[in-house]
Amino acid sequence: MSFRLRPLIKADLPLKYTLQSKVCSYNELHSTFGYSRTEIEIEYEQVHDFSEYLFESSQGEPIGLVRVGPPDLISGVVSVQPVILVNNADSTSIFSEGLAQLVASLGIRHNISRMFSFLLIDETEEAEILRNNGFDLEAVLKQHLYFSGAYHDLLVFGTLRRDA
Amino acid sequence: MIHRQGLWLTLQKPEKGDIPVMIDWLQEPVFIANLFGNPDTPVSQTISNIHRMLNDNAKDLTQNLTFIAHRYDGVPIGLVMLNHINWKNRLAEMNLAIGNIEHRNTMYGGELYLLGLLMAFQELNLNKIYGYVYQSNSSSLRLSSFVGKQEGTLRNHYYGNGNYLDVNIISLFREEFDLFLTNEKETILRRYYEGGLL
Repeated sequence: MSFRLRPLIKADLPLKYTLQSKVCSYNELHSTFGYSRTEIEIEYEQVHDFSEYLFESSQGEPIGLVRVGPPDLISGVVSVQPVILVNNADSTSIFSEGLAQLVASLGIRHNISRMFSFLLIDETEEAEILRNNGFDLEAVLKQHLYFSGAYHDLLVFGTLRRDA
Repeated sequence: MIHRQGLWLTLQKPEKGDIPVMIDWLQEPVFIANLFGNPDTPVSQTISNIHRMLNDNAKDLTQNLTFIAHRYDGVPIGLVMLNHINWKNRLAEMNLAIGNIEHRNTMYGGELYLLGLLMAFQELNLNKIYGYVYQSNSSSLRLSSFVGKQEGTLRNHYYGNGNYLDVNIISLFREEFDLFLTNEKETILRRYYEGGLL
């Protein structure tokens, strides 16, 4: 299955804005109160310590987005935050394959040997994508996020270290 | 100014006069070995970090609050840092550190922990406190597990002293802390209640 993996560009910012209507860990962790269009643009223009990538199908349809946190180069660890944009078996499969490429690329470029990720319990497709890439559940942060009038648990997934 | 008083220590925001001792502590290898920090940080960067801490302290909706504990005779003992404070989710990461080596493994650690939790729950109205504790830091693990619960372990997450270390995530909810205060009223916290400190 063919797909394209590319860094997020300015033309993708409207997608990022509309993505805020989705209940997902990406939104809750990235911006507690949500961003206006202007704030998204400001963040994009500023120097920031994270990077974001978009997975597209061969037809150019956005399938998923991954936010990669600032790497800890001493410990060789980085956070990755996947968010799936299209929920179907094909997109999960493409996303898994794409994330594998991204993980390999980060490992080579930054000498990263461990990754971790946060997900809400309902993000089952994202959890499957992580598991397909060797992530295991390492912690459950109880009642860690508050939205929609209630506290929600946050799951922590991590990979075994390659070089330990 | 918000502060909490214990039997031996008083916890409050640092003053300008506390900066020199904070610089010494934040440059001390054992002190930073148990915190997420870089042992190679130059003094100039440490000074800049401390000024940033004090500036953060002045903001009402800051994400980072730093408190210093002084003993009854004015001797500075340690720091409580509440980091990544999220006022919507009402939680924060708590880091504690005793400054001088001769004050470690004394009763000060327990009181510093208690005062940090009182500050977080009773003064700042937070709902949950969590912390990252290295597997190798047995005294901190013992202390934080005394009232907190382990939520998981990040495997080989941090590199220090030539090894990858597991990092335990320990958390405590406000209602669990309130229960602890009630349950220990006649035992380990008796002198605090008798002294009107709780």
